[in-house]
Amino acid sequence: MEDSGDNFAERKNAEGGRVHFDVLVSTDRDHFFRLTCPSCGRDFKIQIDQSDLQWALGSYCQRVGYDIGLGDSRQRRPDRIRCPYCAYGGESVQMHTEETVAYFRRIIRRELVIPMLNKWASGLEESLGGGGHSGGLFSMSVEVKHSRSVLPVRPMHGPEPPDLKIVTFLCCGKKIKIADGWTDVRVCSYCGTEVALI
Amino acid sequence: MQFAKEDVENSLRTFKTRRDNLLHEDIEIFDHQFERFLEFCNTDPLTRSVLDPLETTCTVDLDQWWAAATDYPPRLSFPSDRDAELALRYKLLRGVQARPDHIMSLGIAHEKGELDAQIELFRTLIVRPFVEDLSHRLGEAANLATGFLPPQR
Repeated sequence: MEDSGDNFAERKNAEGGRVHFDVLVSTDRDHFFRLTCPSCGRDFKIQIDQSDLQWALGSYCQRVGYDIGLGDSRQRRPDRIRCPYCAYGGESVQMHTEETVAYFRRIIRRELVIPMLNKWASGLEESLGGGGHSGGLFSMSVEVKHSRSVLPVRPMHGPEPPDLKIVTFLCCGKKIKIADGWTDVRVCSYCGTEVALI
Repeated sequence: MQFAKEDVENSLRTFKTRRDNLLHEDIEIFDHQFERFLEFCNTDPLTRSVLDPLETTCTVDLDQWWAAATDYPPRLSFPSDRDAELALRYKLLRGVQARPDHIMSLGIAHEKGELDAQIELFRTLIVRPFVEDLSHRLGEAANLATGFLPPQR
C-alpha cells in the first residue's frame, strides 16, 4: 500500500487476467474526505475508510463490466451516511463529489477500458489476419488496421483544501466536518441518533 | 505569507480545474488549456508563493536540454534535487509556450508520428510530473497559509 501524507491508497491486487492499479485519494490535513449531499448540494467531510472507497470504485468498475476487489461476498457494504444539513441518508458512494467521480472514471478508463479495447482490437486484427478472403461466387477483402490508443495521462485527486469545522458526535464518538457557520445539526450522520450541537 | 481562507480555497479549486483540463481535456484544445494553465501559474498568489523561491534554482540551458531530448535516441535528464527539477520543468513548460514545435520534436524522437500521440507523450513526460509535485506543494502551502504546522519528521 502506498501512503503519502494526506493521501491513502488502495492497491487492487490479483493474479491471472486481473489488473493491478493504485488509487490515491486525497484527504485534507485532518484526514477528512469531502462528500456532496445529492439532495441539498452542500459539502461536508467524513473520515472515510479504505473499504468504503473500494466499494465505491468497485461500483464504478461494475458499470463497465468489471468486478473488483475481494468479491461481493466478502466485501462490507458501506454504512449509510446522513447529510448534516438536510439529514438525507444514503451510501457514501452516492455522495462523492464531481471531482472524485471524474477521478474514478478517468482511472477506470485508463487502467481498464483502454487496455481492454486495445486487447480486443488486437485480437480482431489477428483473427482477420489483415488479409483477404475469397472463394465461390463472391470475393471480398477485409483489412483491419489497429493502432494502439495512447494511454492517457494518469489522473490525480486533490489537493484538498483545509476547510470546514470538525464536529464530534458524542453518541458514537465519530467526527464529521461541516460548514463553519452551520449549527443546525439534528441527527448523527453515522448512527442516526437525534443530537443537538453544543 | 498570509492568505485568506477563501483565497486559498479558490486557488486550489482553480488549480485543480486548470490541471485536469490540461491533462485530460480533448487534445484538439490542448493549446488553449496549456495557455490557461500557465496563465494561472503566472498570476495565482498561492502558486507564486511556491514557484517564486524556485526560479533561481534552475541553471540548465534549455537549448541544450531540448537538443538532447529530441536527439535520437532521446536523452531526458532532470536534476536529482526536487526543487531544481520542479524549476526546470516549469522553465520547460514556459519554453514550450514560446516554441510549441518542441512537442512535435519530442514526439518524433520517441517515434510518435501523430500529433495526438505527441501531445500525450508531452503530457506524460513533462507536464504530469510537474503538476503532481506542484499539487503536493500547493496542498502544503494551503495548510501553512491557514495556520497548520505539519508534524516534524
